[in-house]
Amino acid sequence: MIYLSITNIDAVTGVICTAEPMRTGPALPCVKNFVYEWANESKWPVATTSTGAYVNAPLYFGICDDDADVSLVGVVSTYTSEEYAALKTAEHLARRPFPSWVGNEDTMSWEPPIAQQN
Amino acid sequence: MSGILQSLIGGTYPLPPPTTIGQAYGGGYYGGQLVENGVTYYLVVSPKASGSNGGAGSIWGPNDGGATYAYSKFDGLANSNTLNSATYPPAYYCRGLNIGGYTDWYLPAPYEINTLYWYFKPGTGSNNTSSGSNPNAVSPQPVDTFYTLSSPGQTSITDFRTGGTETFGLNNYWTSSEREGVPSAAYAQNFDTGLNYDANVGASQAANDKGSNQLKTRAIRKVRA
Repeated sequence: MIYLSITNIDAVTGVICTAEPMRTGPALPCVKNFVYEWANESKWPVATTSTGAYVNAPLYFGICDDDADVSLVGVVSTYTSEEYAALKTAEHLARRPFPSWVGNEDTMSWEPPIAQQN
Repeated sequence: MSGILQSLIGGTYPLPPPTTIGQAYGGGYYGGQLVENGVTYYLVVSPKASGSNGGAGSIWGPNDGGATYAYSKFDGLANSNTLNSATYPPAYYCRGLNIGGYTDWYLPAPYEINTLYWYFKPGTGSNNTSSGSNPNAVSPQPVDTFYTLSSPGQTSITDFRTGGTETFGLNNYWTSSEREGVPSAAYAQNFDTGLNYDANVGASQAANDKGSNQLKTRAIRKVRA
């Protein structure tokens, strides 16, 4: 199993989203058995250039098969399990609305604290 | 003139018509059709990464008692052009976008975002059966018909389901339509039950007990069919 991040490419031309505007619309690279788990949504919306290309690549994190081709256009990086876990924790914390809220990193969600009854 | 010939001699040419809900199209994803004043349009949902305010959301605009006259239930572009100032954050955000080289993104009107719920319902819960009647819908979406508890069902498009890369999530989204005669309210769309409702514009979190005035935004565009 490989931990990795991928980003958008144009659905027809296959050009990465930071190089040219995705006039056709977005797609993700066909990484063998890629399973999406979370994205760096705390940094969204992604800004665009004057031409409509992305300034920064949105990152979609997940896992894929060991024999997947990770040299495809749109594959941003691969990680160790420790690096991947640290990035996920950082993204989860970046989404915390208020310091008192209770987080669930498995679902990448935050809930308001429940008041205790007297 | 064919698109191929036109491209050989220069100039722009129309995109081939979309065939599948959710396919990449026109800088985003094809989101169904709508008839507006007798003209059929393809709706295009923006990529979530660049066309959605991913944070806590925003108010629609100030609750200062004045009417905006952004009343259209089906023409979100006209509404958004009326609201295109920093005073109205969701519409202003959408009209300022340049995604995929397109600059005609806007905040959808109620019937437009209703169609998006019909095709992109993220979850598996029951629908609100007093919502969903859409006179501008195009088959296979039923016209002027309320949702049933089970229809629409969860979208078959994985990326738009809960947890997917492009999902609306089980959230409330602003439309660009102010409630005519009630300038303190604008219409919104819930993507859990499909409920269409009007939310108080600019009301404080305390006054609006669910804080539902802080809603999300997702830009769309439309292409004449």
